[in-house]
Amino acid sequence: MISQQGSFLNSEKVQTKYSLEDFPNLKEFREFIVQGKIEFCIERAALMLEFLREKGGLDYTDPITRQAAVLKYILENKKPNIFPNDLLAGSSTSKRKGVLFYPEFLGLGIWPELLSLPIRKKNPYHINAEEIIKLDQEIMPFWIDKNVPELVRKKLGDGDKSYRLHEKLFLYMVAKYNCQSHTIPDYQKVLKFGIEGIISDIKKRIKNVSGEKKKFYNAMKTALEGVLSYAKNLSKEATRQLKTCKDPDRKIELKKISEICKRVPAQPATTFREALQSIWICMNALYQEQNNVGFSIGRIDHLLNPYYIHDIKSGKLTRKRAIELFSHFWLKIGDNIPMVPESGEKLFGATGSNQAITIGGCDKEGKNSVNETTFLSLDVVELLKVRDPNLNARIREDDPDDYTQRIAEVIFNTGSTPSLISDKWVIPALQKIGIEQEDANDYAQVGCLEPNSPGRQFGHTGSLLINCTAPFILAMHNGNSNKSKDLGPKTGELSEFTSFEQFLDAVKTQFKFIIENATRLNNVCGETYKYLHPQPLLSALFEGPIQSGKNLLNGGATYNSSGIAFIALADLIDSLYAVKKLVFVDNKFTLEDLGQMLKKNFNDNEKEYSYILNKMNHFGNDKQDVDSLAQYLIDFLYEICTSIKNYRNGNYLPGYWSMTIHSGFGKVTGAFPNGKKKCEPFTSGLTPFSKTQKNGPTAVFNSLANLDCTKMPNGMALNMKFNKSLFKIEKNKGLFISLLKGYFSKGGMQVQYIIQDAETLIDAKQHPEKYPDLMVRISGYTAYFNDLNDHMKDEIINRAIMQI
Amino acid sequence: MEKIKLWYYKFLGKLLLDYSHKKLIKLNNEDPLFHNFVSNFKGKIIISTENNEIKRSLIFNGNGNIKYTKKKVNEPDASFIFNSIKDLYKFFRNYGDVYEGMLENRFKIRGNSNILFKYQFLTNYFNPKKEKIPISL
Repeated sequence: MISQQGSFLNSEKVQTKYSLEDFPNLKEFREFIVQGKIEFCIERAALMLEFLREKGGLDYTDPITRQAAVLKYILENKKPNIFPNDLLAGSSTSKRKGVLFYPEFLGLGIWPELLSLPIRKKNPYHINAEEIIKLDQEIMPFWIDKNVPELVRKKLGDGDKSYRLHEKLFLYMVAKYNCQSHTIPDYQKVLKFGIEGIISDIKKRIKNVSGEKKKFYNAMKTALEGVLSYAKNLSKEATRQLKTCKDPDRKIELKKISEICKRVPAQPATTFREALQSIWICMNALYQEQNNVGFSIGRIDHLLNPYYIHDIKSGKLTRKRAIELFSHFWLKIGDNIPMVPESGEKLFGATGSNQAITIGGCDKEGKNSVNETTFLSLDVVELLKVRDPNLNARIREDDPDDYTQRIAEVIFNTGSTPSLISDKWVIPALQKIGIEQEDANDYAQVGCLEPNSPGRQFGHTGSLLINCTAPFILAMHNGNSNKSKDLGPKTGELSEFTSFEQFLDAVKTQFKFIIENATRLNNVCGETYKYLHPQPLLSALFEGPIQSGKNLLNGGATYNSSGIAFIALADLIDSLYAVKKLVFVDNKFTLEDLGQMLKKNFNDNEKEYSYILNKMNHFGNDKQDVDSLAQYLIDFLYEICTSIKNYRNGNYLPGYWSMTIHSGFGKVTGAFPNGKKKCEPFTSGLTPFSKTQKNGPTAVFNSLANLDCTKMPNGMALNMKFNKSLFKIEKNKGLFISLLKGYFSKGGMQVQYIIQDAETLIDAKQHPEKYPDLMVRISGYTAYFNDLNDHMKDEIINRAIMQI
Repeated sequence: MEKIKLWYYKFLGKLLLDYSHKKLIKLNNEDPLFHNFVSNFKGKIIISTENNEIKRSLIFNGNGNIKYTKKKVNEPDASFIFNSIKDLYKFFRNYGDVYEGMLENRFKIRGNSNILFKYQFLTNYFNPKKEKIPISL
């Protein structure tokens, strides 16, 4: 067995830079992943239907036994793909690059556009006539009355308040309708013990239990046996291809693939390549169990480094070959695309599968653990410049200088990645919610940037998306919105507010009401999963369920939580400050006047609009009065969220990131007192309003660093944009690093960058064909600029450009 | 002026609604591929405004027949309840999308939204704004 502790090979720190020209096969694969056609895959849904029809429907046995049997059937019959030049066997879908389709979640939302999918303008999915007919006539009708949204509706009834509010979409969105995969499985366990080792542990425990526990252990065993079958089929497929292969080099690869798939993930990994293959097969298997939305990989440098060091030392591996294999793995992760309906592109446009990888940081004891594979990861991301996976780098005060410098270099060269996160504040944030020190030290990012303790914290970090501007709208309209009546509690007409405190109380009442309804609906979704979608495989690949005999959905993980992403907090901060200052302190106008101004989109109120933008203080300018209001709201949200229990007896955790939803919400919302006009996007993550960032990056950093980040356990996103040309001057690179270190030292938790010249972005909007792989940071994930809708492209173009 | 506008929306809204559903029935009778899509679909749908100024029911009976009526059917599987006649008019004028309609807050959905997705699949069949791939039985 390979030791899990790696050592640093000093000689390897002298790095040879490679380009894609050094790896022709990799170059072709990359081009395919970036620009190749996306095919809609119905394999999983068709196999699942085949199995359930044969058995007579969902209720032929208990839910956990059923799900294990379904999964095993899918894995046994899934096409064992090994594409030409593949170094790792297996694929997420039956296609080389496919859309994963899950009819039991929100898959049926694609029904309206089945006939236009291959020719829709934004992100087309190729599908043939036979598949369309199969979907329309067999698969979708089977699920029409039993997918998650329909079961939740049946449970609650049409008139239920939480359900009805969700329908409005602008208040909150319950992501659990679509998945609960925003988490990190325990891949360490697979590498260390192998699937057979895990099965043997389960077998020992089965002997001593009965009833539900026995069913659960048997279900985990069945699911794991499915993974073994899939690996065996891949090995057989490699052997089959070997028989007809004429190319001697390819023959060697196929022989190797066949041998490796015979060994892993059944057995513990013994080499770097086996470790990659083992993780990749488990990832494929997990996607068959449940929707891949942010199924994250964890600390890849920690997982792989012992194997890398071992292979390099023993001469089995060269650094160049390691880059080739690792890059292949990296590209494979992008072989699947989440299904997004055309209208969904407005809210979630251009998203990949958002699988986070984390590098850097410390070991469980708190000792800096930047290693060889950390640098290897940076080399790979710089070489490939692809959207997926989403790389996050942990930053510490005791980091070696060459690590920080290398990270900066990779950000300059890719223009967008990695995202940076500070150990100094994340670790205490996790400890504050009850994660033990050594487990907190081991944290990694999930999805966009949410910190979780990998393999032991079942955190579904993207459970809920809540619009922070909604409570403001409801407070301004006494519980109504512009379009709908009686949404929230009656908190008073505008004329009745005589102080800012009263108005703030109204907003807080509306906020509490929204959060309570959103979390209630999320909990009902969770209960629905217990019937429709328990997860025996993920349970087996997690710390806790095997030890306790308790399914993940019943709280079997060592730590349980549900993450909320609050969207557009900066808009709320500035808007509340505007009400306080302009209405109640300076008496410039009344609340009713403000309401009228917003209704008219500030038309006829140019003077007031200009005052708001240019004279009033705004968040992000290092102004204590606004920043303290921001902290007040963050404290308030932390208290409420952490006091509510989820269906697994964990707490809700607040975070501040928005993907592209700030743009979607903004598009359907009117003017706001911070100066946002009708249809303009809201602010991304916790980034200050771009029209009012006047005092440069230091002020933005100071405002953010003034906040207590330990009250953001579900992460936060600060977006910053710099002109690329700025870094042609060597001195500026050093200043960039100093600014970053200062921010993290003072209290900053996270930052991510777009390093791109304004002209390039404008040109890319006008001539997309010239920029097929231009990457930008959204608010959490990285996207190809071309894939974004125009509204989001404008949001990126209009982000404030920082100067150093 | 407001009254004239309302009358206009009501007149055109009804016209669009009836036109598109009559077209649905015509296609079902004349186009074998479309008929195939309808053939095993079972569902009762109500389309109405909140104040019931406009109300129509559409019944897919599961054997390939479609019934369109001005009466409200009992126990519908799904309903579109538009906030106003203007919202209904705008939705049908643009061959509306269910998600977009929800996002724009034009209507409430009651019942099983999956039924409405299938319904939209059928109406998109003759939506000139949606390009479609050629498909044959």
